[in-house]
Amino acid sequence: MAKRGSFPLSERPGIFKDETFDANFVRTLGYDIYGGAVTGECFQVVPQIRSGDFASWTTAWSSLGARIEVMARQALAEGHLHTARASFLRAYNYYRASEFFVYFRDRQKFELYKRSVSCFAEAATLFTPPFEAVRIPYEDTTLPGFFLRPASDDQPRPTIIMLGGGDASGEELYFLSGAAVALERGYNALIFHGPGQRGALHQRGDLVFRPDYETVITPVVDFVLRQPGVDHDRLALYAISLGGYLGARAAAFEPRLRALILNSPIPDFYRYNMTGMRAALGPLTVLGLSRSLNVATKFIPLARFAIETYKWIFGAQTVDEIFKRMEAYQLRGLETQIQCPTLCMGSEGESVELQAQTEHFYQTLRVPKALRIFTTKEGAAAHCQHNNLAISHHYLLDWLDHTFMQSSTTNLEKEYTL
Amino acid sequence: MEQKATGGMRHSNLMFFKNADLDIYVQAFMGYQSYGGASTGEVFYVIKQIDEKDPQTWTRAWQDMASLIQARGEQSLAGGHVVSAREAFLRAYTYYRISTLTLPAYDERFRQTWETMVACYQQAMSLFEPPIESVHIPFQECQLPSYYMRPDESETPKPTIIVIGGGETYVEDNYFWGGAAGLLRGYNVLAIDMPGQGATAFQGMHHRADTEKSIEAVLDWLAQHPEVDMQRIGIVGVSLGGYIVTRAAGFEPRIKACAASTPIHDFYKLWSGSLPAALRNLPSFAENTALKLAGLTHPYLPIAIDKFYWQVGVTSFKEAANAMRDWQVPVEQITCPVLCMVGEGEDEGFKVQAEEFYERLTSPKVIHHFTKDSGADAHSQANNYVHAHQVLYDWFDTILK
Repeated sequence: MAKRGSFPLSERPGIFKDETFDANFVRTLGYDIYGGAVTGECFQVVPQIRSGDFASWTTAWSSLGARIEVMARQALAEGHLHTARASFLRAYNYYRASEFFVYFRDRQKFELYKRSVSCFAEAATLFTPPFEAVRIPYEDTTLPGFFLRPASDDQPRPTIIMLGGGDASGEELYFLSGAAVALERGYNALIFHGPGQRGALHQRGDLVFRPDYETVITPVVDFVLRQPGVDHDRLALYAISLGGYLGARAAAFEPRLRALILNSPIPDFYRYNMTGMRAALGPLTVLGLSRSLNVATKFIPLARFAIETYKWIFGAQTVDEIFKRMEAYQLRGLETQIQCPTLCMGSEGESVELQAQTEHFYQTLRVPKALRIFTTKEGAAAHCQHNNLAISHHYLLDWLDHTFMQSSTTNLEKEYTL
Repeated sequence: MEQKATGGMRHSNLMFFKNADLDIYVQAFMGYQSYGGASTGEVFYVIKQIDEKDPQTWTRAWQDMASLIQARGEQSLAGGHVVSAREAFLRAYTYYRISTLTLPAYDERFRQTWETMVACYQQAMSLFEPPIESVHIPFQECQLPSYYMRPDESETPKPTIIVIGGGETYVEDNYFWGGAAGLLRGYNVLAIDMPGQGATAFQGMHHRADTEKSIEAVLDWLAQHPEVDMQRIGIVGVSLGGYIVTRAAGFEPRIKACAASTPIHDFYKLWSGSLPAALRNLPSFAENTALKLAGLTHPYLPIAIDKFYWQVGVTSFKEAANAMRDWQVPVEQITCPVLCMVGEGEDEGFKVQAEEFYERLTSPKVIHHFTKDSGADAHSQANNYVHAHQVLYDWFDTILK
């Protein structure tokens, strides 16, 4: 989640007073680098939005999305395929942004989601080769996603499974996790919605997050290894945000992964949340936090929104229940079971607690490893570096190139210290 | 440049600075991100380091970021990471390039920064597949700096677009002003500076009325390449380029499609109408004093005007106006299809020129107005390249493909 406190003031454009609005604006605009936005369109919606006013946010972005979707369909009808593809990608991103602040109980959340992913699906068919829409078998159902290949031959290629977090998954990872540039560099990429993430929740409300995420990643790995053109010796998992817990946990049980990237590692998601809430609400007991939050949700729309979203994604009815669920999201030493080279990425703008967890996780690892903390001075210190995807993805893919190229990774740390 | 003198709006949506020029610069260069030439967080970080009343902070902040990214590019290159290196060099180019806005043309630091930014750019270009070549096209006793971009190395004849910038662009910018968009769609692209544009004044070249002469040299050069289909040559010009390309189209039948944002048929009228009459009629010394006074409240204005004078090869407004008397387009002589692009947020002078041009034009023609709600209403659509290029290339497609 683009959490409060994870977007340092020094880097905020200050376009909106509210940090969550500002962060989500930058997130939407930042996809420009992979064709998901353009500056003029994003800046044009700004005057239509009042900071903190959810409805104005939704209307402004969804109108923009609709306008660009019309352009896309017109271009498609006239045979301008490049324009059509580029426009569908932007329409996707603008609809996606519009959906963000809608409550999950509101039917509009699903409607806007559906429109966003249908635009992405249109764009997907216009790539060469087209992105393949896939259904990944999972328990008694399937998970939606796309398998992206740089070329249509079946030459074995390195492959990255991209795992999102609490509010970014599936299609969005084309931009946020750099599938776009990974393709350009000769990697296959799988982007998908796991339990707890948008696509799964809209499909079936009980597909909520679960702490034992190896039960998800193992069938995903099974699926990927069944695909043609996948080099089994060069399979990586790149997990962001809440994925920093989920991916680490899954990797501890999945020896077929040959590289792991966590942005950032969250060995103790429960403690991370509790510390964050105490920083905001005071040094309270768990019961005290729960009571304060219940009060806060009555007066602070953003607090209410965050809690409602947590209920949705964790399958909880009350604040107490959210807390109970979160307790299980702790690695408790499982990190020592991870067997593949691991890159830990983090941002200077994250909370002290999260940075400490990243550092601790890195120290505990018993595999070839690298740590990279992105700084304010680089303009890259926001959560998951969503304000500077270029730098983030360059670093990540350079590291992965090396890891897959050489068996010995002893020089990695030295080479990657800037 | 032209609009500087008016102090008018170049677009309708100020985001970061009170000074409208600085604001559109930031928006315009941030837009390079669409083609890999900027990154949001880097731009926002730099903006925070700038005090808009102090041009020094502008130069320093952009150059600090540029050298950081340049170093990263070199590191990636040393590690063999071609894509990372290319993108880093491309961003370093942009940031160095923005920093030059506050450096006077006669300042040694301007030349140094220009050389560094071109070096970064050429590094990036050499890392494309196929590599993008820096070429010099002979024209009279000079060499026109250009970059020749091809979607692949085959000799199959392809439609080819000549991309021309304006009074404030450098040939390197043309990758972002239509070059990359053309490549993506399978066109050959020749990005080029005409005499006077960019840094050609270092070679002693100055702006001139008869742009058809230099375009003729360019077309002769293109005609030697088997992969260029001479029956399918398009040309696009932005800002001052809106004069350069329409003028050339009036004389050069080898141009098969011409696009201008915005078309300018009478540059003299546009320029001389851009300053208040009182200032227009001042003797040179008084004009210089007036500019200095203006510089107290608007420190960027004299720098920009000086740079333009440097490019025109003059030292005062009057001389500039005299030099521009012949900058006229024989509109009725144009026979190829023309696309006229106009932004709603542009200064009135440009809008009037575009409408007059369109009215007089007798060849097949289209006029596209970019409205405010398209987010592309700025001069040259500098706030939304992607949309402008969609309109532009969808039109080129219908004529040249």
